Amino acid sequence: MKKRFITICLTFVMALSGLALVACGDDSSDVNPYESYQTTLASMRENKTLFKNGTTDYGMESDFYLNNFYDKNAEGIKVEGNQNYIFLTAYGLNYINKYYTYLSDLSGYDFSGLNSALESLTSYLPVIDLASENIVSADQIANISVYRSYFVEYEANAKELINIVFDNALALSDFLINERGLTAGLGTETQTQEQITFYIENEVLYAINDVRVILMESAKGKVLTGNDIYDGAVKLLSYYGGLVTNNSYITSITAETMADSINLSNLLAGERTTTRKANSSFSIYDYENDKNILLDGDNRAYYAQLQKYYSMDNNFLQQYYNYLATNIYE
Amino acid sequence: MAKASKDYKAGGAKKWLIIIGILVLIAIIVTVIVLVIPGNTADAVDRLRQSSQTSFLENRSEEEKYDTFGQKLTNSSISYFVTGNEYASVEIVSGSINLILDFYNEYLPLAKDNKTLSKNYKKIKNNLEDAVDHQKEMNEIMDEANALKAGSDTHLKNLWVDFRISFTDYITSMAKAIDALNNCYQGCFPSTLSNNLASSTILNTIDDFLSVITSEFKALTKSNLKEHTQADYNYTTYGKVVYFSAFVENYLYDENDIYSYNFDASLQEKYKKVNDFYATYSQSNFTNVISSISSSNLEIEFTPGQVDSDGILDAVKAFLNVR
Repeated sequence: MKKRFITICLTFVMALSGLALVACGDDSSDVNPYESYQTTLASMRENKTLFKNGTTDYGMESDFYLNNFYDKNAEGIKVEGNQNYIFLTAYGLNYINKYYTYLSDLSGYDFSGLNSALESLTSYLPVIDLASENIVSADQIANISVYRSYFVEYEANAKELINIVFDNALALSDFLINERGLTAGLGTETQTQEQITFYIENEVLYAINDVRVILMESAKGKVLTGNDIYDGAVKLLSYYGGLVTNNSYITSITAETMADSINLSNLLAGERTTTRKANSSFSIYDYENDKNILLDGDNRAYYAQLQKYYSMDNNFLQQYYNYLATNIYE
Repeated sequence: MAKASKDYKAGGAKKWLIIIGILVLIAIIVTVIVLVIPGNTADAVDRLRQSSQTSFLENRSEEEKYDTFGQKLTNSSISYFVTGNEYASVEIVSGSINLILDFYNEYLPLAKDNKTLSKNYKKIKNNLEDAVDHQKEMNEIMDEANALKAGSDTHLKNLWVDFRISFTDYITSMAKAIDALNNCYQGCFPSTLSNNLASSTILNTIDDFLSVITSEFKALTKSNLKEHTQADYNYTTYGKVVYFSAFVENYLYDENDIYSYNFDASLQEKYKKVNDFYATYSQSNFTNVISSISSSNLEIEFTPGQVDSDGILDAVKAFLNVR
């Protein structure tokens, strides 16, 4: 009896100790990453090997234009790398650069998602920094084939950077909407222009991210001109890219129009969930490069969904762009 | 030492507690299995995929077999099954069913695995498998018919009557499977652009078409028997079949209404008006509209019991007649 009592007490104490250890463990949920974002973005801006100030395709200005992103042709002449890489990097960092400021003076929120995403970015920067330095060195001393091998590495690192940047942008968006509640009251008479702008810019972020998923994940960063999904995604990037230029701005819209817009965005989000299922099960790069992959069985359903979302004549992202361009933007 | 009481058996109550405990545990496990662990819904996806590739008259050899059967009928004294358009109806309905299966085949693999899918996947799988059995029957009948020598008209007629019965069973099974597929489409893609008033109206109308056509074929199997002659024959479903075929081609093959609905105010108006029919004239009258399609002049002959001042009936007619 005494032995049983002591065993029970010991077990209880050990369980409590374990819980205490977990509770007292390293917890980043309380730390506001505002200053970390500020420092990181400032250092990125100052890194003139990796970034420069420039105007991307579709007229978007950015301090985060990928620098030295040049391949060389057989004659050794520099050819600028895939413009989609440059645009996506710059766009994602522009978004973060604008909206991280909303974190200023916040406390008492769960910042863990943001901190985790930022950690991925800061830990990756040295990798791509090295790749950009290597390409500069190779340009001065290496032969064409060596230079090109360094560019392949730089391009691969840039693809990874884009994916991490978008993870950060989406984490920031998610925090501001769900934790901070920045869109509460939208679609009612209490809505503010700031809220409207934030909401619409987020919808554009999600759409551009949809394109990123095709270009950087499904196509693995490669150019697949001729594949209708790829071509459709590139065309959509040109449309949505045009919405984020300095010359576009969001008009002041009524609460009723905003409520309709929110409803439409929610339906697009539902369709996006279905499309992600297709994205995760089907790669257009694999399809174009592996003769054993056919459009039969479930692949047919996945491909059809991607066409509905990205490439057929009245695809969903195109129709949503038309809606924004007609009803929301000027 | 005290004697133990005669009535006391050590551990008796404990034994009963253990038995009850085991029974409760079994009940919990069974409940978990039934309610929580989902069925193998992938079976329905596989079955649907196979059916969309191999449904009746989808493959060339089956088409050729049916052509030969048709030639035999045309060159016999019972050619009225061909000239009366029943023979053509089988071909048309089978083609439309295949288009419908193709449509759902592009969705089911992406369906959200929820209660709706759990409730319907067995109905999809079982009815598609039943359809395969009836398709086998039709093939056996065609083989027998095609082997007949010239002049075997009585035998040929009997075989056509048997074929009609198997075909009716085939479309009955397909209609049930398609109804369950419709349930999955509407219930497994919540809050998406693809699932809207246009899609539900179109898919429900397809179910209604199949219900009418299946009922009429069932009635024909009862009214046109082997011993009957041309004088007793009255096939009146051709008009519905023609409308059905055009409807499926227009709305499911070209899916513009479904995909553009949420972005197009005129489409929203169109489908609101079609759906106003149910409130104004009742759900059962929608099926009556389909039933009223005439085979002789290919017109919708339904007349409402009231003045259609809002043009709702005209909207429904325009919706159904896309030939």
